[in-house]
Amino acid sequence: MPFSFIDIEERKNKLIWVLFAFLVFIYFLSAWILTTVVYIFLLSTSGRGLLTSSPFPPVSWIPKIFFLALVFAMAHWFFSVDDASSKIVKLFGAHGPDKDDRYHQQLSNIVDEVSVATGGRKFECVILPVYGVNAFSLDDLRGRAVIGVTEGLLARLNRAQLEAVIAHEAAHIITKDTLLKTIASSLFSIFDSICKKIQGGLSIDHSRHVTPFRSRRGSGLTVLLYLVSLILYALNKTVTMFISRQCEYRADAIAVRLTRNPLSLAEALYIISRGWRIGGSGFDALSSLFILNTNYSSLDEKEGVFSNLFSTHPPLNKRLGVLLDMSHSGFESLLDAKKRRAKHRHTRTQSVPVSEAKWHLANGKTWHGPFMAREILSLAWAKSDTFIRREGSQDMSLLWQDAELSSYLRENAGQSGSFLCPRCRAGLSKTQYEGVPVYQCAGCTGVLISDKKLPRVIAREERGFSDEVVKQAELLLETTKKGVNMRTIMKSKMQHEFSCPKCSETMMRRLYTLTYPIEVDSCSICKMTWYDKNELEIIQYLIEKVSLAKDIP
Amino acid sequence: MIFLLVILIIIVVPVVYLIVIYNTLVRIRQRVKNAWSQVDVQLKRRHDLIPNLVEIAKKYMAHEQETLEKVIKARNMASGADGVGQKKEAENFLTGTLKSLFSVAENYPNLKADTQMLALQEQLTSTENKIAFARQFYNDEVMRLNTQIEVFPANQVAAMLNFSKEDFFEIEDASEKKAPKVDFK
Repeated sequence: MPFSFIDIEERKNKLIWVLFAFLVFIYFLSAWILTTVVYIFLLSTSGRGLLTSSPFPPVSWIPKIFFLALVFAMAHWFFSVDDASSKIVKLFGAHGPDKDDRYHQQLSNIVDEVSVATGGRKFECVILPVYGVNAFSLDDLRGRAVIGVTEGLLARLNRAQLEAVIAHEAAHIITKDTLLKTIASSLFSIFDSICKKIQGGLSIDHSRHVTPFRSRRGSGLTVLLYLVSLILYALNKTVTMFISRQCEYRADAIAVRLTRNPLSLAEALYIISRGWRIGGSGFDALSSLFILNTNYSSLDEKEGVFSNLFSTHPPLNKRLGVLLDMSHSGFESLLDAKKRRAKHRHTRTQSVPVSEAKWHLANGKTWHGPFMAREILSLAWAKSDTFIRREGSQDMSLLWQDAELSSYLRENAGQSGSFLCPRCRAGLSKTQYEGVPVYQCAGCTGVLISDKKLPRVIAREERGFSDEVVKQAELLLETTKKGVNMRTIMKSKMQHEFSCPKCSETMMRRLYTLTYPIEVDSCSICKMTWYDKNELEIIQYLIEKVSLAKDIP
Repeated sequence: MIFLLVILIIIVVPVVYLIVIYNTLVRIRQRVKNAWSQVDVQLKRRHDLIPNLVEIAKKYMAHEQETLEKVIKARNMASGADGVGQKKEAENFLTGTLKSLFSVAENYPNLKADTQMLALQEQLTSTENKIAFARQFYNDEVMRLNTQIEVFPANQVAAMLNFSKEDFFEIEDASEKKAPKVDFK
């Protein structure tokens, strides 16, 4: 019987607090056990013997043990959590949204929507400039709440799916999961530190000077402490990982409460699980912060003590099952979503073509033309009140009255002082290419783009590929196999090199990469690159071809 | 001594309980009021976006003056509406006119491709979602308040201190409740 998200949230709330209380109890018990072990050992070796004295430390020691354990835990936790959000954002290389980027603007809007849904809690959003698909949330004692997503996630998910993921991450923040999980991790990592220190002390490196632990009495105690710490570490970790798993279920339920859309969250989790989740990028130690583990592991899909020891996330199938039950859907819905996405890849819009229509324009009493729209762009005498007529028609109108032509001219006219196309010297217009702000020439359709923004274009799959682009890309692959591209570079180097539209310095002609040997022109000062007609599309086509082949079905 | 302690417990515990219940009810009631004002904030945002939308649409939809004028009239009515009932009615009417405008805009592909229009549509979509979320949050808070007022023994305290239930923000237009009829002829 499917549970409602309200039931799940209430059940998990109670379970998490009970587990957390149990974990704190185990921690203090562990501190007492460790003290007892040392006490028994010292007692047995002191000559007084266990028969004459109690093996347990005096009762009056208990408050002192607990107090010391509390101070130690708080100090350990405080130093790891204080300003954690800023430190981790810096470590990830994440940055705030670009206001000129359509996808980033949509993300900002979605984060604001989720903020309204939570009753006004403020979240900061950041973007990881990687192709992988994943999301994370951060919270620290200074109140900085951050939700982060990867560029790959922005490109792969639709609005509803993205909203569900953001709501899931917001749920972690409003329930203070990050702080809770950090306290829990802090507690068991203390025992981990003890084990590691003892491991270092037990090393048989003869070049080190003699330490007290090298004595027979000392080594016995050390080994005992090591074993006890290991057991306590495993026990604490099991409970902590269990808490972490319950927090994920609760966050899923709260996300559904916020968005009322369990199917979109299920679809999002499914899409993320099929892609590269940024495993191996150096963030694996912080995997518990992400919506799905950064690395795929078959251990994640199992239940049981062993998988509980090592897995911070619940089995994906179980999460999907709960969400699909709530939405009264089956697994086929997820496969349908995948098919819809595959269909969208094939039917997405082609590169925006320059208008093929032609017009005659009147300069005084003389008709000139026919001109295409991009040619009219460079006619200095064409104004909004110039008389025009379409080729093949006798109907006259003023230029501003022709919606198609006037909108084209308005969109593509370069402003005074704007950059000039390095190839045809027409004004470049600031526009958006798959949502990324770029400078484009309306004449030759070449694109000038910042190197920092290029990964976004590569990650996004908005534009389709014309037959011309596909043909050129396949031809390039063929010629690359034959190894002729270096000769092409040498030949083209003798042609006129471009000047950077921004700083006018000579641009360097280079290959995009050796794997994708498309000739481009880069300015090393401005960190911008010029791509001629179709070059960006060819690069995207070749990269998508490779990534599609590796896509998990 | 024990007798005094028992007397103290008998008096202190109910008083503390009363204070806790009262404070909880006050807190939830304030959250409900805040949630309602958040709905207002999002509605105002929608009113501010509409004149920009009409200006951009005018450039392409020169022959759709009637549709555009209806939107402006509905927007002015919604801005000036007073009282919860009037506001709900005016906002529903405005939503209706916007729906007509967007369905007519489907016939103007150049309008749909205009980058300013794309950005504005995104803002409008976001605002509509925020209005929906604000209403949802308001309803969730009303649910909490009404539940707290009705459970025993808090309902006794609520009755004594004149806490009353609030109404949910419901759909006014009966036609919206009907499932759309799709006719493939």
